[in-house]
Amino acid sequence: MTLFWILAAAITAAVVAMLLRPLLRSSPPAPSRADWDLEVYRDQLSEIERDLARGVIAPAQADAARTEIGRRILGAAAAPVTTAATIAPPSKGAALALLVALPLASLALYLALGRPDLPDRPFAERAAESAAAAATPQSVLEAMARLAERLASQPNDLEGWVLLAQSYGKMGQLPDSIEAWRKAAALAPDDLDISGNLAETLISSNRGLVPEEARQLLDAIQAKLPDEPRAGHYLALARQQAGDDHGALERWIKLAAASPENAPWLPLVHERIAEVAGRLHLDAAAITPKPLPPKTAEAPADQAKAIRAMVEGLRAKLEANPADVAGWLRLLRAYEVLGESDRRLDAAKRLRAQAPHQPDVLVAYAEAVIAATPGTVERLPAEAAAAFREALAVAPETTAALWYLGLDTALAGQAAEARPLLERLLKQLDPASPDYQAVKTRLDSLK
Amino acid sequence: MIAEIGHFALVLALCVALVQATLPLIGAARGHAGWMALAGPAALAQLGLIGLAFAALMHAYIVSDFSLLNVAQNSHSTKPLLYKISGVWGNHEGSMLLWVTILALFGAAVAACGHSLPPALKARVLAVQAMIGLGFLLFILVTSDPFLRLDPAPLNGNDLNPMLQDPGLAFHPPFLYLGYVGFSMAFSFAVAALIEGRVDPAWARWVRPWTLAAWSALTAGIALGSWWAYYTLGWGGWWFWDPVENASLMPWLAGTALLHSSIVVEKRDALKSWTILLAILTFSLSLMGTFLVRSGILSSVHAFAVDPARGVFILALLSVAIGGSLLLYALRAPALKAGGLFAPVSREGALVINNLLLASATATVLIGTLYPLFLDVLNAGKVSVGPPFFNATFVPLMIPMVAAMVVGPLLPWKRADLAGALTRLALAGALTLLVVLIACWQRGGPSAMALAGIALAAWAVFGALAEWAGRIGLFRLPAAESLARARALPRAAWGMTFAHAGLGVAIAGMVGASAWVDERILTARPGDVIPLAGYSLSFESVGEATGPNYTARRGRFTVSRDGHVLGILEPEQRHYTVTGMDLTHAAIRTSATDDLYLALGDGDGSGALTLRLYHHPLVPWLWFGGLMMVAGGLLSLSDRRLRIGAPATRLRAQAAATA
Repeated sequence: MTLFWILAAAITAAVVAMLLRPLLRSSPPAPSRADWDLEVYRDQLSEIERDLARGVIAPAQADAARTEIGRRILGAAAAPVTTAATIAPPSKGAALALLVALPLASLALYLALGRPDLPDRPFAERAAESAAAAATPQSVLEAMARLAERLASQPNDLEGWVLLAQSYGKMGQLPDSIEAWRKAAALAPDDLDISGNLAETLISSNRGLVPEEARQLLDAIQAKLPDEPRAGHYLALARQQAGDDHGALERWIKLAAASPENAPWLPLVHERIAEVAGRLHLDAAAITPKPLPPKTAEAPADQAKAIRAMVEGLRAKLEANPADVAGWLRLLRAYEVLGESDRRLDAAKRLRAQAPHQPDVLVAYAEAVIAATPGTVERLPAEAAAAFREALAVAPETTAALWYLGLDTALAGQAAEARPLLERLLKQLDPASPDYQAVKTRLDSLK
Repeated sequence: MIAEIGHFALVLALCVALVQATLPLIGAARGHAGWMALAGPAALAQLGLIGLAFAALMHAYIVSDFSLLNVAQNSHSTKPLLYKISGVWGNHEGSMLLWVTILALFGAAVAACGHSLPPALKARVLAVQAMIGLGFLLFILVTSDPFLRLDPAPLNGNDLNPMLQDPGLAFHPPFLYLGYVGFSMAFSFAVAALIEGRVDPAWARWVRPWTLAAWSALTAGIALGSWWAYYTLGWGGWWFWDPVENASLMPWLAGTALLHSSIVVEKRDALKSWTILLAILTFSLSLMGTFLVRSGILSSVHAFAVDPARGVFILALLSVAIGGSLLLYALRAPALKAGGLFAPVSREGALVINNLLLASATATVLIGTLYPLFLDVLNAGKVSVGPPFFNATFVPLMIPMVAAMVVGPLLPWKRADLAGALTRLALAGALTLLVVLIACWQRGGPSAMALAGIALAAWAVFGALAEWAGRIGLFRLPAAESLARARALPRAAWGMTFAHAGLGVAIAGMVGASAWVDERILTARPGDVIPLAGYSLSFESVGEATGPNYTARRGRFTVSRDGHVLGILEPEQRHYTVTGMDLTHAAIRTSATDDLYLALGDGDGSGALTLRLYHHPLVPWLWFGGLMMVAGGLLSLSDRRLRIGAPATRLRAQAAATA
């Protein structure tokens, strides 16, 4: 910024110096205007001679022109002298006024308009900033690069293409996303979700205008699933963009009528209906249809059913191959999510039989026991406590065991037993994590 | 910091303009040599300061400094360097800065080369020039500041409209502005003359080079602009009578009239008041053109709604500049002494006809351009004034204009013999008839309009040649003497021959492009062979291509004629990824006598593509003719009579000779 003010001052000084020079000099008498006029007329006369010599004009014409120019010369000589014929003195007053006013006026005006505090921000110096703004962690980028590489050699991996398309879409690389969606759509031409995603990405990359290709895709979706909301909405939008407000309105009304009351897209559709109706001078309230009753139970139930089917599949697999410890652990987590504590305990017992000395197995078993114990648990069930101790015997740093046993003994008032457990736990925790705080509070309360 | 230095320089330039607009004017009125002499350094300082500001803005574009609002709105880091540079004037703020930069350039040129001007006239001219600059600098700093900053700065910009990313458009605004702004010199000279109260042949001589320079630049600008429209807009037309084009045509027509009427002032001391008025009107039309192009005074009425401050400022600027100068004209013009007399049939008479027709043509274009816009402003409905209107009004005015253009140079000053001049044109007339007959035979009885056009074109070319042949006594005198005479011919005479013949050549191009077009729209797939006007195009392939900031579908066609392969055409349909816009990039094959124009359309999904093919006979002549006119203007500009010495140097030279 200092450099800026030095440069600005230098420029101003140079300009003021240029302007002051003529003012501070005493000017010699200027030749009168007639002298300049005569210069032109003399040249005109010589031009006539040149033309005559070239034979471009006839001698009679040349004579007439000469007479005319001669008359002008006489006129110019007779004209009153307007410019000063005396030496003009330097005008110090004007010079001083300029010297003061010019820098002050520029400075005042510049301070009102300019931002001298802001440095230049050339693009080349902002590479780090743009990398940060891209906000995609390096690891994700690397994973995507690996995925893209793998897809190059295994182009039939449908899930891979979908994942890549979604990732590009999230990063805003729409052309790449479109490319990946196309590949996926080619592998699964009947997957309406994929073609819907492709259409949507095409629309986003076209700045919200529905391109012809997207319209065809959406038409195909609507032909198979007439009430599919995404296709319904974008096809209405396409009508509107084509200038067909009536057609657009009709489609949005149809979509609104087919949507449940709590559908997330319904407010948007209502907004569109109001907007288009307003333009067509229609009463939006009167034409907005009543939505279907809200849908709640059905969809989650379906989902749970599907999950359960998956879990049973996993269990059947483990029956056939009971040595798969990781599979059992996965099954336990699934039962935990589903809240099926009996089956969970059952599975935990089978697992403990498979790997009786593995600390994570022991922890999973103990937790299953806790979950299966009915009512609120005041103290750890004995079986669970035993399993945790066993886990600690194998691996003294097992955090879950340290926590449960520490908490249990602390609640039981056995501070001497609790403190070393919790202290060991604290050492393993990140001081910034909330867990650390919770353990520390508990430990402090023991002192 | 560089951007802020530019901003500061612009502010300082405004202050210097204020000084330059006042002190020299007072000095000239009071006869104070020091105050008058201030105008010169002030004009040079302005060029330095505004040039610095322009360089700073260009630097910001080149390094993609998106902390400037203007750069962020109109540029993008991936844009090719050429368009980063041309992007400087591809937007309103930057183009206004270019405008004042060129204004300062002209002012500095007068300051530096104007030693042959009387000091009082020079001081007044530069003061008027500074007033224009003052108005524009205020406009820029108050409503259209290109140096507004963004904090925090965005990481990338919005990119330039892809239509403007084209070499034709990169260079066409600077030329156009050189023309528009160049006419400010004629305006300043006219206003200075009105203040001084005298207009004489010497004045006409002093103002002429500036008018010529402006006219040449404007001609080049219009030609480049229509060339750009021809190959970028993708439908094979070259002139659309669109308000923006008309905005550049009007000052050109008025400026052409000014160029010719100032000859009468220079040679005969007549038509003085009219010439002054033309100078004022020409620049007024230039001002209007400036704002029509970038800000849309009327072309987009919404510009006012979007930014009322800017619109009101433009109106105020226009009314002060145009209203003020016309008022001064009304007050002072009656005091101008009338000059030489002349008979209706004479060189002067012919130039008066030229002026009348050009002025009427300007008025026609003005009405055709403004009428629909005014109706729109007044909410009186939308009308579209298009080619039919201009064909019915403008073209009939141009026919007698061109016809008379050929005869005029053959008439002597004061009093002339029309029959004698026509006799000297007998050969040109016969040749014209021959060309029309050939055109009839070649084209099988084309429309009357096309025949009239081709007749005019031939008449203009052969007439210009006949006049030239007459001057050097071709076939009348021995060849050696003719050659000697041709060599001694003043550059101005060569310039006229070039410019007049160039107009004829351009007219031929216009006729070819409008009356003899061969046009086909079809769908084709790779492997197809398409015949067109004796050529055959074979569609080789279509594929994807990637440019720096666009992706494209590129077709590949081989052009052949009678089995000989002539070349490859690669039309593209581009998609600019940042702005998301699609653009057709036509492929054009130009030969001496025709253009093959090929644009790629959409696919139908089955692999076939829509193609638009045009065969435009004579179209290259359009721009060749424009080039000849520019060359004529430049030749005339280099004439020795426009380089007059100053009295002081002559006195010194005499003193040196006697000593």
